[in-house]
Amino acid sequence: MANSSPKSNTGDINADIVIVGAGLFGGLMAWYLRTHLPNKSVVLIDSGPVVDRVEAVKRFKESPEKGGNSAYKTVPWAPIPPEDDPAAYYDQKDHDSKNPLEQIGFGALYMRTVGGTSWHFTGHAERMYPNDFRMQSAYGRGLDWPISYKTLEPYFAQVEEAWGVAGNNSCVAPTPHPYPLPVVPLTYLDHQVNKAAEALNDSLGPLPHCRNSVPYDGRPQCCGNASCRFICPVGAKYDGSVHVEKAQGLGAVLYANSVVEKINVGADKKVASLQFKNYTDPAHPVTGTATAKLFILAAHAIEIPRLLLMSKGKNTPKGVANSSDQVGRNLMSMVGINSSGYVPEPVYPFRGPVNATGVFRELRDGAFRKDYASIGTIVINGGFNPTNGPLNEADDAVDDNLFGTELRARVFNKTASQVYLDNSVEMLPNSENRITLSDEIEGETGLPRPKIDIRIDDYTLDGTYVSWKRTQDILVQMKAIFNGVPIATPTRAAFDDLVAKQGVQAGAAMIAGTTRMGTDPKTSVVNEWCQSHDHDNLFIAGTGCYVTAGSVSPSLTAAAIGLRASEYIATNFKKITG
Amino acid sequence: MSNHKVESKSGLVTRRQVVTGLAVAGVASTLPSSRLFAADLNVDKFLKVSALLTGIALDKSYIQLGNTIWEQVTRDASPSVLGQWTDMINRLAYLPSGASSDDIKNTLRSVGPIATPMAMQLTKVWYTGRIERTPGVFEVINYDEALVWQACDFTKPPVTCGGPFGYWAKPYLKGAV
Repeated sequence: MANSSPKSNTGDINADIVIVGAGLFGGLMAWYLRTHLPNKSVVLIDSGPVVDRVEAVKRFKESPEKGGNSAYKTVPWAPIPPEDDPAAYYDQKDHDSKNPLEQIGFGALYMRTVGGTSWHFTGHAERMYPNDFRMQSAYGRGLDWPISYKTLEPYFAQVEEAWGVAGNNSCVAPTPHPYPLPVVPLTYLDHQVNKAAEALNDSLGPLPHCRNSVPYDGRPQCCGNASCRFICPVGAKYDGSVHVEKAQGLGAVLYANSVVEKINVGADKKVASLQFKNYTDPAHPVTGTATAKLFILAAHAIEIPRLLLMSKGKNTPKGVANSSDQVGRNLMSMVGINSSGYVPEPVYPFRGPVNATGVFRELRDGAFRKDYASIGTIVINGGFNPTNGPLNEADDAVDDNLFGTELRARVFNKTASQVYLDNSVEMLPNSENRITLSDEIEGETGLPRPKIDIRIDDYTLDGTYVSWKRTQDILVQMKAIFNGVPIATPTRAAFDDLVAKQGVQAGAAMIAGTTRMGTDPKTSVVNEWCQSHDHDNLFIAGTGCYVTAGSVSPSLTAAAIGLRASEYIATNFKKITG
Repeated sequence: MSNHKVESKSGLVTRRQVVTGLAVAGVASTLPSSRLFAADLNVDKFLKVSALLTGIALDKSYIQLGNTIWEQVTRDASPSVLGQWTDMINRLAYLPSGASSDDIKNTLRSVGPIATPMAMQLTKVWYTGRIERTPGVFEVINYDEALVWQACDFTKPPVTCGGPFGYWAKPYLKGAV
């Protein structure tokens, strides 16, 4: 069963508000605006299809890879970076560079479907830390945001209510505060890692999750399907489709499979319309124009700048919202080198919510950020490979010529003793890290692919070393082995050798900064309300607005910023649109 | 794993995605009827030997899956190779249940040089529910019934309800969730 019914193939669209991107932020904003502006029509346009959860689970089971995107239908008119080869979509020179100060492989992933990337996000619903918003003032690094943690606090709470965030005051979070749902407990594995962490003067705590610890908002309680990084088969994990459907229930209209190709700006500097192509009938796509009084772009921090840059015209010679030349710049992700090993006693990964329930308490924020980057280290509940890990152990055991009960025991012991620690390290804004338009044209749509240019600095590289040292130290403490030998005590020299061999990659979880927020129209793209400095009826939502990124999961903060922008739009709609 | 990029009408896709799509479609289609068990081999014997190789008891509820796996592992076998498969199964069937890994390996060696790789492939398919047609390219036969989930009975196949909320906080106990 489809979980929402988009409008079928159509030509032109007219509405009071048009939102491009029916994902985590677009859906939430559509729901808010239909709730608070019930007399204003709202249209959501998304390049991808509606996800059918039943079909997605079937597709996941049939996929040999069982990766992040495996459950989802990729349509040719909305291409995405493949998980196993992101450079098949991203045009990135030297993406396999071994010198991270010159270039890092950009492996950040996203999806183009109704509900967006949240279909396979971790479900970690963390608030950014107060100092993440004032990096320059606090640590002399990066920039300060035009808004503070305090400004966002009520919106954080609203998002937590809307999503159903589970937590308590034992959670690793910047401030104690009430959560709508009880905490998601740590796993047995987390507790075993915590023993090692405590011996090293660190500790683990639970993450806040947007997965139901009790039934909430018509969605069931989590029963530990061990697949939520890929797809939650029961909808216990929140995803963006929830509020897309709520918005539809309030009268918002969804156009799926519709690729916006250009934004048209009038001589009055207002956005006048969007050109799009509807692929509901892929053999006969229909070109249309969407007109509205107000437009919101909520299509992720790669596709939004791509669209803005594609929209050069008489009134926008550098692209839309780009008089500052900041569109696409300051691309941020998180980097990290992870640690893995087999410990002597079973710790039983692959149970409960995979990805992670536990996070290290230290090195999220503190005076160390004057010297090196913030670090998020989580314990992956899914071992070395959350879906095929046990299968790979079986293959390895058979390759070692084991059969019968000895084989069975080997598969059990190796699988049960896997420990995998994942590091995410903050990047600071750098105007040379950017997405531009590639000369290479994407096949089906004839539109340019995104071109990526990104590297880290010593601040992030030093943070990467500290994070790797911490996780290697934990494995040493746990007496772990890998490739048949004990994990060695980590040194900077060993780290440098490792980097020289494998480089550093940007991970999957964060894409930010490419339409950043600021008070100065010369150095930023949007103001504190996510409103374009150049076009007052254009708002840009999502992580692209981030000024700095920190090391927490990015979605909750972006949603809070989106709700705050929605409130501003609802309050000032008449003033903005004349 | 090979991951050559292929240009298609629908844009950029990886070679692996193309191959995977075809492979899954192939598994879903009707299986050939030419690989039924030979006269001197039946599914009960096949299950007995499979249980011996995997170290996991396989009762008659596995008849259907056993048939499918036999069909898949012998799909492209010539008559001569099919004969060696049959010979291997028949010879292993003489071993007592619970035979050691070394006893199994000795028997395989006595059957002939390709018996060990055949037994390894069969064991992998049972354990993983997938078959590797060419290096690095897998087809899924049955993920949920892969025997690895019995071997690792502290977990369940992903996208399967694992138990009551919070079960993961407790240490695994044999026989419990």
